[in-house]
Amino acid sequence: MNISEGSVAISGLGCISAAGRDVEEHLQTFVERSIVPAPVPGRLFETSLPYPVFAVGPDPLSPWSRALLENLQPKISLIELSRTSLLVLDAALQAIRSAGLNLDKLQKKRVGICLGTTVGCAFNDEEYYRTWRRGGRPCAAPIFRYLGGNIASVLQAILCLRGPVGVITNACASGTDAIGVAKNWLNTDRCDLVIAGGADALSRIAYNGFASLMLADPDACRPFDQSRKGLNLGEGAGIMVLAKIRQDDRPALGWVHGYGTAADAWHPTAPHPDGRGLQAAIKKAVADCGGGIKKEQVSLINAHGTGTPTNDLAETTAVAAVFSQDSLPPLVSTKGFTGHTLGAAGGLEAIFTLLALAAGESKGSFRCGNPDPTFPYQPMSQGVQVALNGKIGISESLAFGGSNSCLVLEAAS
Amino acid sequence: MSDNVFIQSIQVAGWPLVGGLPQQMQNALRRADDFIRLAVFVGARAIESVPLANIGPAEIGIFLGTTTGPLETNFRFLDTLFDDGEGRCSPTLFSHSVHNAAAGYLARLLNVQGQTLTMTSFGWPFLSALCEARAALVKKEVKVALVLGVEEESPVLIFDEGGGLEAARACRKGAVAWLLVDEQTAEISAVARLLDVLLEEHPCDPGFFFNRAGELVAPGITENCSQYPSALQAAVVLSKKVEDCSLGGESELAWGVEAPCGKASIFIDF
Repeated sequence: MNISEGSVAISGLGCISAAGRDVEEHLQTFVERSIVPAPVPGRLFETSLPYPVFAVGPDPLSPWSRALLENLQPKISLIELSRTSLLVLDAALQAIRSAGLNLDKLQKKRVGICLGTTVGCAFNDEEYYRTWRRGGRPCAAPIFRYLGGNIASVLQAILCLRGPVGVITNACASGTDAIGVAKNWLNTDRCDLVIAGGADALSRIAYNGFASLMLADPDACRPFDQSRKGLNLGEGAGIMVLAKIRQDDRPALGWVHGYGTAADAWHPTAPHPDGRGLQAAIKKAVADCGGGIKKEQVSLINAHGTGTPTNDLAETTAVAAVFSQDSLPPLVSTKGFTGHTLGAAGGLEAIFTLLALAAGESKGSFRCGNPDPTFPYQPMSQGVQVALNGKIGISESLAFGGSNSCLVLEAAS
Repeated sequence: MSDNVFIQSIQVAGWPLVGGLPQQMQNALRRADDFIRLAVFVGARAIESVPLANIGPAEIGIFLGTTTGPLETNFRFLDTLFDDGEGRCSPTLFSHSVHNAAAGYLARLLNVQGQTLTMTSFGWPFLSALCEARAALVKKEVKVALVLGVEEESPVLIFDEGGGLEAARACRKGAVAWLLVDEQTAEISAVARLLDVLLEEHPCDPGFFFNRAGELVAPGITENCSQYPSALQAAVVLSKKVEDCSLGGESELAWGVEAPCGKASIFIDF
């Protein structure tokens, strides 16, 4: 344990993605390594484009979550909720249960909710807009759903919690930033617990947006591979229950020790070629650990690793610049299992980092058979498995707008 | 080390922009939407009000709050999807429809390399951003924090009180920027000291957000700010009140806002 003044405890975990409906299913998928992206399910949206996606099943809610929500008083209307909100709810309920909490206990505490999203904050009701564009008078219901659909407020309302709420919209770094902001809330005593992470559902708008930017791969994505052509979109939610560290609490699953974030100040959609902002974010995240952790102790880096040519090159360049030759932690991407889940990615990948650190081993990036030899830092290729030399790791996120954010995490022994 | 946080500069702008964008930025902004232009307009003016020669790019942060982000750009992207078809949408419009596009532009044009955080809430996103910016200064994460509230209304989402589409009316746009600095960076010309920001937001009937009827600010009234988007009016009232108190020689200001979506209190001395 490397607890510093600013460290916060990870008390509970919840995750849902195409790779699994909970932590256990994700672990199983990471072992089996057979998941493949598929054409966009027609139940989500119709498309003529060829890019496969990583979709969650038809109902984002597990039977357990659905039963719990349907028995809440006052009654809530689940059909009014967006798919992103349902993903948040499912992962949050998992995390609350994993933390050994129930709603009665939570409602007696000051519980913050800090979530990252991109799709979840956009008004993307195509039918409404088509009608409006034609000069029609669309039904106002989609507007009410949108105005009532802030994902943090939805969670706060349904669980009847009180405390600070925030939705971070830093594009693909949103989930990581939400966990970092949540840590700051606990450090400044704004609340006792925070439900933090990220969530995003697949959307035709984002799907077409990434296609228009020519960042999508028509085949399964291959992060860090020499033949990589782009990303596959995915959906999901990754949520942690974070708490102040107290000696009398139940054992933590791990800790968030450091958070660092920095801007590239470079380009709207492309990372700085040297990963300038990412380098700064890694250094700041390590510095945020209060001197208790040195970068030489980092035993795993879970990269953003989208599979786009520019992201993977910038990311390996930044990592090479920060870590010296005598301290080269394994670098992996997990997006081969989940696709790029946008605002959810930071939440999901913080959890995946913690799970690998807890297991004490990591496998190479799924579908990275031949790491690009031009990278200045070689990521672990598929088929390689290493024992980790410690319990401390870094989870990285990069985003449109030039945002770069990192978390320093430690798994409990 | 002091935890004091100072308000060095305040900028408020409606639409159309009066005075224009900085000449040296116009080329970089040629494809930017109004949301980005508003953010850059107030942000550049706020940051240029203080000499930052001794402040490194990594010591400056941007904290932007918005209720809906660049709504019109979102709809323009949908236009390209509907009119041009899949595979032929505008990549520029897509990248500008992301809520943090404005913060990204600001970071690039002002060479800000510290924290950039965009927050989205239907309540008081400017105050959310102010709260996080103050915390970042107290934590010494940054020495200078540019805090913005940027809002644009869209005719697509304007309804009357009965829930029907209102007759088309001019949609308002506006932005507020505060430049916060730590004590070491503060100039003698600082407007005030920001003592605290207390914010409690909670769920409410979404109908409130159509016209924000029942939003009460004190001291001040939102009725004088009708040229600004309704979601920005509280931030505009607060900004003008702080400037008035500073010019009027007041010693302190306790300002509050209350609405069905929660309440907030801001404590300032001069």
